[in-house]
Amino acid sequence: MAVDQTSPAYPAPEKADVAPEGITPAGRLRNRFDDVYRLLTRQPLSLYATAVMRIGFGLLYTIMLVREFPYRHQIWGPESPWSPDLARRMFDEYGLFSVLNLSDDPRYFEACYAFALITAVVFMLGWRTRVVSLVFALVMFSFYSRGVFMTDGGDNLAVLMSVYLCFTACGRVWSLDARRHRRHDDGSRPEKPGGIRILRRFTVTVMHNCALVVMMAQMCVLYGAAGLYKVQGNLWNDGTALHYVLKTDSFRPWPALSDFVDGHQVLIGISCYLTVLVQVAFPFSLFSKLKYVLLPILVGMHVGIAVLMALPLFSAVMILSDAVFLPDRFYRAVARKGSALIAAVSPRRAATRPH
Amino acid sequence: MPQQDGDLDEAAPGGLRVTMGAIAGLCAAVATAHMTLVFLHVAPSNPVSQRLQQPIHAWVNPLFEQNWLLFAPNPNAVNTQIFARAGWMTETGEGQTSDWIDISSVDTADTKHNPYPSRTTIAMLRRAWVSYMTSHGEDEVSRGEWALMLAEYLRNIAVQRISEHVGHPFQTVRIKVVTYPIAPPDTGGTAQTVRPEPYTRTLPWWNATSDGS
Repeated sequence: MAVDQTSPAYPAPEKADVAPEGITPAGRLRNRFDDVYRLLTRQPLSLYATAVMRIGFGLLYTIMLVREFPYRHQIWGPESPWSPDLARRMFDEYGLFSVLNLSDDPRYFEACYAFALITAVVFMLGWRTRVVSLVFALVMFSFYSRGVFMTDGGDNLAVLMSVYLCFTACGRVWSLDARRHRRHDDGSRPEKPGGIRILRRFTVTVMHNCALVVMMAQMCVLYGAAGLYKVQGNLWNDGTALHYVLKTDSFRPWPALSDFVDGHQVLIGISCYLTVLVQVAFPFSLFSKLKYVLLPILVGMHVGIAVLMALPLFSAVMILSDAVFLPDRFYRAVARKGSALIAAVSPRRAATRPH
Repeated sequence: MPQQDGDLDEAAPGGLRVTMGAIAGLCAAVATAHMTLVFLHVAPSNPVSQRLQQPIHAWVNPLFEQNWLLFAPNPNAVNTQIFARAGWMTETGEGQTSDWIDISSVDTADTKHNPYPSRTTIAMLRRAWVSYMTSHGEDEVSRGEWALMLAEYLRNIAVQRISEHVGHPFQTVRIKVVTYPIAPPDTGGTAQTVRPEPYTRTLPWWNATSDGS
């Protein structure tokens, strides 16, 4: 998988004892189990990927709340056509819950909105990340279920990922928490782990790694399901599905562009088949380098959706969730290139902060 | 840099190692169980998912809902135009109605040349109508609580959208939906030049709330 296994941690122990000749199948299984156990428990993997997701989801949610600010009453407020009464009846039926339904007072709603906005920003910055991630997930879920008819697959995925992120150590790097730790941690506190502290750190690590696997598996379920559902559709089979999508008024922000694309039937056919194939193939590509071919295609697809169909937020959520598959060395390289670029633009800053 | 956690496992004394193993096992078990239930929820109905229907439903809904049906199995190959009209009593006790008002054109207009339309534009009326349609037959009778709620939702949107056009209180509202099937791609052949006919569905008069709001 794409988790980063190359961290220059410490001399890899017991790498030497892999499979001496003539080992029994049971022994091999045991070794394999030990390898997996060590991978899951030794250190949190893909810290940069989860940090990118934290920053990304915080940012996207902030953008969304700002974008919908003028329409907030229509979507989640007490005057929404999906009235508080309707929402409550639905909650009773489906066991849903929303903080927004605790009161119908308009002032309470405005307070919730402000609180959601602040939570998203704070989450993005990574301040007291563990606690804030729980609050963020609660906020996401509350707004989602209050206006469930105003949501799409992107919102669904964002809620899921925000719940999974609660279990990760997504504030460990590129966060205010990390900065605070750097300041307090300059050698003044020697590592002297007591039993409780060992257990705590161990639990954090295992939870993080398990959540990481769950996020990857979730993306596989998503793409696998989306692909296999499409396989059953005759319009995807005959390669014309995208023609109908491009002709749908609600998804035509640039009619001239849509018609131009629609004019290329071979292109449409290829795109239809490619969409289905890539989605179905995605779960199977994870253990090979093939995923680095499929991921850019998926990203390209989502960019196409964003522009052609005016669904930028949906696409951004999808792309951001794909980010879980990229290894940490990718993010570190991007960060290096980025800071080199900044250094080139402003030499003075580079002199003071060589990061 | 991430803080390195060191090789905890090797350093820990025996009692701790057992506890750690238990924690790791628990986390792995929860993760596996979660993904299994999610998978069974998304997969087509099968003997396992039928037997585990209750736990699957209880676990996945509502927090882990999985809705990956965008444009699948087929995209909706139609465009819809939705109209509403208001009815009211005059002071002399006469029944009066407004003209049909197009309540969906505002969405089409707001989408045009807009890279990021609000979800009130993209989702509200469209999803309300699709949800109504999937829960009601052509006889327009609401069967069950869920259908009633969806009808009420559609009505509320219509009432809100025509209120400013009507400009005075009204007691009833009626919705009409014209559906235009999207023509298949023009393959250049001579045969199929027949454009599919639009069809109209007119819903019954519904009571609006008394102040027309």
